[in-house]
Amino acid sequence: MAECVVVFRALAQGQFGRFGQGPRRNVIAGDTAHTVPYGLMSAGQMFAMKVKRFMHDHGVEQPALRAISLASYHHAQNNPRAVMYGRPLTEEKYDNSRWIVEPFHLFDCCLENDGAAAMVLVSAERAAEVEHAPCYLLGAVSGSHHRAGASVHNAPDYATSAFKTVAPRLYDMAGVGPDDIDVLQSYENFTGGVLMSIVEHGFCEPDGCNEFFVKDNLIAPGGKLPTNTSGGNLAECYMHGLGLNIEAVRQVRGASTSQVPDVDVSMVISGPMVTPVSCCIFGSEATL
Amino acid sequence: MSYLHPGLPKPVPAPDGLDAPFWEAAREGVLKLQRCKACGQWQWGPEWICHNCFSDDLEFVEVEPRGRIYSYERVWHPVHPALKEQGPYLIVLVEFPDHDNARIVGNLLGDPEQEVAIGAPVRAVFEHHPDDEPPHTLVHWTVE
Ligand SMILES: [Zn+2]
Repeated sequence: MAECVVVFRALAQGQFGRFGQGPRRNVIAGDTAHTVPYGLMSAGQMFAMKVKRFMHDHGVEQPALRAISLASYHHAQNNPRAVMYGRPLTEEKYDNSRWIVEPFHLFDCCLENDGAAAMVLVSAERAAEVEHAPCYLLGAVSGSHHRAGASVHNAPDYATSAFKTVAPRLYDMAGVGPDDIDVLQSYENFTGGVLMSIVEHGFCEPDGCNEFFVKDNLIAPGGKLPTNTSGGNLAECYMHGLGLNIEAVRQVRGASTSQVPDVDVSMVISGPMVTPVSCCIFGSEATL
Repeated sequence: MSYLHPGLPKPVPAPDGLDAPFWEAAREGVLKLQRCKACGQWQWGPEWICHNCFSDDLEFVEVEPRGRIYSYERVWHPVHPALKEQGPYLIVLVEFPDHDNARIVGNLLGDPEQEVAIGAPVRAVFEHHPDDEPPHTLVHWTVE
């Protein structure tokens, strides 16, 4: 068994191609032959269709998505490392921003940037010996649901972040519930995924999104569920979510630039609307 | 909207032939979906086994080219050079209530800024390119 594991992510899109661009070739075959020729080829286009259906099913309105973006940009103003530090977002700026693909405005979409992030995982015994305050992993799960990967948008349960079967296992493993979570980092490829992730982790009823998703509920230090407190993928830095894990650890250590007081339980929901998905919960020494 | 501007990748049957009957039928103006001969389950996209009973005895069967809008999106930002001058366009996910709610992706024709209603009935429109290299047909939708 490894004694020390380094988890890292490094991105160099400038040299190796941007994620959000479609394929350039004459022909296409396989599953994507049934989508790309219709102009459905980017991540935003893959996910907007799910979010649109969820919003339809539950009467979710655009300001609910906007609140998620406003919270991220709010937190980024406290974070000198954030790409969007010094570039605040207002409701007006969001509303007037161009559509990328409805229901996503520009500010509903993650950044594309270069960068790197890493975490070091060791046993609790070993962690006690290092100079940084330890942060404990209370649970981590990965999984999916029935035919979640069905091709050409045919997953039977379609309008979902794909956490319905996964979230209960996480809470079970960590021995906590939604009410115990002090602060949340929730992967924003697009705001709509955050919304469905938060619903599926039990923080909000699907039909209660318009009331729950307001900026004041989502910001540190006093919000009901402070979310993406570094600025996250939308406004800090898009490290494919690893930056969110690091921010979750900062919250436990008391080292965030948008610190929530007395954090013991700090949660990360990783990339939604794909399959499989994963999520984890970190805790302070008091949770052991 | 009329059709998308030319220049996007053109569909060809998968090298293993899995979806060839679909594309061949489309070139004849016929819509075919996959059905399990063992249990009668309809499915899409095409797969080698039935997701319901795991039989590998599947066929492509002609269906009435009508469905209803399950979801949609209006795309504004072009992510491909061919779409730079396109302006907004609509992508619909069409479901077939009579065929186990199998779904297919296409464009919704008409005004790209039209109000789109989830649940609205639509019928297929075949965009043929017999002289293109390779020849192919796309399957679009229009509100009934
Ligand atoms: Zn079958």
